[in-house]
Amino acid sequence: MEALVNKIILPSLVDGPGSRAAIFLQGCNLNCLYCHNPETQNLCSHCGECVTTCQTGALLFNEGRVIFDEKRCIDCQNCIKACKINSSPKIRHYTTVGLLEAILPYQGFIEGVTFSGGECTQQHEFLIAFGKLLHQRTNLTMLLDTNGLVDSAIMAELIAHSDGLMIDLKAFNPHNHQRLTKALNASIIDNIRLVAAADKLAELRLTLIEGFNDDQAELRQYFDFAASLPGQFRLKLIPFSPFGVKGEFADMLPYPQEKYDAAVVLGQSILKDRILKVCYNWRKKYD
Amino acid sequence: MTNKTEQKIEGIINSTRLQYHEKRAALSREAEDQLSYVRISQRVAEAMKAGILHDMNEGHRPYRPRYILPDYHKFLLQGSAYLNLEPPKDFYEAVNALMILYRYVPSITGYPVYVGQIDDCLEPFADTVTDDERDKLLRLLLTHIDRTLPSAFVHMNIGPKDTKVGRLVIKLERELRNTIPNLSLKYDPDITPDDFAKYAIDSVLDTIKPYFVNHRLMSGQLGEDYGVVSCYNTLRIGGGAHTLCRINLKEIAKISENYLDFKQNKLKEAVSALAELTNAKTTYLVEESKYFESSFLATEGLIDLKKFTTMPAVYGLYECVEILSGEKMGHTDRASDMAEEIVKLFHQYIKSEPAVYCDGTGGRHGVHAQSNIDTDVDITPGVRIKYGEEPGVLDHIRLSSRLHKYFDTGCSDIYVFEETAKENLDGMLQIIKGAIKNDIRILSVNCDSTEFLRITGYLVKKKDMERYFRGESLREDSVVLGAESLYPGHLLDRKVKSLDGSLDGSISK
Repeated sequence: MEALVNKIILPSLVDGPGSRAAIFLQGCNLNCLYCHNPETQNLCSHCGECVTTCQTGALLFNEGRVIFDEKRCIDCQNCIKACKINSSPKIRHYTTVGLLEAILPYQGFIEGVTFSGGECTQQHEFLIAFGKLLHQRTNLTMLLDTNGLVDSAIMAELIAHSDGLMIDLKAFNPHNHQRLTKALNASIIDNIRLVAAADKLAELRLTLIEGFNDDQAELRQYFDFAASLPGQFRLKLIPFSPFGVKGEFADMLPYPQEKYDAAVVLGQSILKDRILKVCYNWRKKYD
Repeated sequence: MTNKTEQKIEGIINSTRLQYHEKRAALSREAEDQLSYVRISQRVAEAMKAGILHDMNEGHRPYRPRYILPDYHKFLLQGSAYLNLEPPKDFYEAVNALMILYRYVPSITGYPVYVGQIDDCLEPFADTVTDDERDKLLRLLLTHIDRTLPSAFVHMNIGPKDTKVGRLVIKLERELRNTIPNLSLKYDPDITPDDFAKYAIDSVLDTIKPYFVNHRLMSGQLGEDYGVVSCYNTLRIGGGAHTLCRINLKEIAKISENYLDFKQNKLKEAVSALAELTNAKTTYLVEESKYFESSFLATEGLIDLKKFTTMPAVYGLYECVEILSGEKMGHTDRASDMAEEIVKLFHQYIKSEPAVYCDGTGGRHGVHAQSNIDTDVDITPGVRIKYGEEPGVLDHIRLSSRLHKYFDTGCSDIYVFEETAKENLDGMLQIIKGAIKNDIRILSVNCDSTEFLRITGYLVKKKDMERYFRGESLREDSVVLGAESLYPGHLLDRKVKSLDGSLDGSISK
């Protein structure tokens, strides 16, 4: 069994508590307008369009396939910008053992592994197998950073084999969720309840998008929902930034600071110190 | 006196850029260099001329050790007959006594490079004053150091224990935002509480201070009584270093026929010349200028010749490996293996050379990775990776960990993080613990968003360098050194380790 990996970030200080290995899996089941790493959405179709944009010869077109030579890559992002289907020619395949071996040399520097994406639960069989291996061989923890859109039976298995889930609920109102992601959120909310009931909810996350999910009444509903869940997880509020965004939201302005501060105050009135702020000029990629 | 010398001296006297005390220092240096060089053999002179061996411009006739670490703790216990000081009885008197003694501690820069293990010195007096008084007094001490010892090589130590004084120093330095003193935290995960370490990390990401020093590694090699001075030199308290001379590994690689010739012949010859120069200067200092017989620091037992050593050093390992292997250390196993082999060989060669007055490191020379001076061009400090060529931060640390252990008198690397690290102190602590566990000797974590910049080992403010380039007269001589070394050394190209470990930014110019 192999995982399709877009990239591994080691160490990451923004993908869960402590220092972690963040593994971004390729492929997603939502289509968010504000996706911050669109290159993780789809699988490469080997159209070859990106090859000509590579200045260092890291990409070659051979017998109908795009071949990637990591050693020559200078990470200029030209190929990612050229891709018309929101994918990347740099996807690598890892077995569970292969991925573990890539992480083991750095064991002393990290608290655990976080799978992100894309949508990591799309590759749930790999995650479950990797979780077993990781827990058998190391003391590292495994967190899943997910949009929560997965069959509830699979979610139950993921809960059992991971140490926690960080769930990105993108809007509380189902209609607004659909506007933003093209999917409804009822099953996601059910899954969040499932995870929280198992005491595995490590973080709930909301990216504030002006006019899409930040209406006062909706925010209040979101915070009340979070407060109703068991567990001591924190709710991270992130102001939208256009950094890395492709498509119609690419030119949208960063979320206004006054509105962000107001949302934080509202959140704190309900969730107290369980609201996690980010430094305002936060530019990290979030999906 | 030749015409040229006269012109030079007149130039100093009539300069409008130098302050009085700087003129005095420059004039005394001119006087010293009127004398011939300490006695060295022809081959040493030739190695110096060829750029293989470098004497760090220490002057022709050493008359004070390069680095001195007075035992300030002992001084506070016994007072001083020479200074007519009784042992202090409270925090006020202790701070005053230290201010007085600093004035009398020479070094190669003219300023003390070590102002003490300040928590050990002052913690015993901590409860003789109120919290507010302690805050005020320490603030005055730190301000006094910054204003009267304006050299970023002035270095203060704290840790590994969590103390009132240690915490207060970190807090005040963040408030005062001075580059001086340089600050090191001796860190041992078994002794230093996580809470105190995170307090220090929070400061590091704001002001670059303090350094994290691997206390277990250091005390295992030099004993518990070591100090970190000047840039990041590690020496014994009550001791110091007579001299620091260095060999240029890049130049040695250039004259070698191949790697074998480098290892078996050229490096060995250079090390032998390095040892001879080091011994010649040390012998002159001890036996001719008789520093240890004349200084009251020695006669009152605040320093002891037996705790001194020398610091023969290397620099330019990165270019050396590049020339000999065609590959970049930190990027290929072959280059990294070669880097370690060269360092190990240097250690072995220099430790087997004759050494005089090196009891501070067991009768053998101390071994040092020198971090460059302002005139170095196109050569990487010590055993570091060239700026801009650093691999991901963890791979960088893992390579450093193979090299640091060979340098008992100091070696350090700088890792730059993005501002977002401030949001995750637990994660930063984890990385630092990993580095310490991997035998990193001294670790500087910098944050790209601060107004400070660490130039090889000391700190400067970015805006002070701009002032220097505008021709303003500045208090800190280290700003001048920093500004002059900035462009040749390509420091601003140093890669920012973004939190995702990728290399996608540099310090803005």
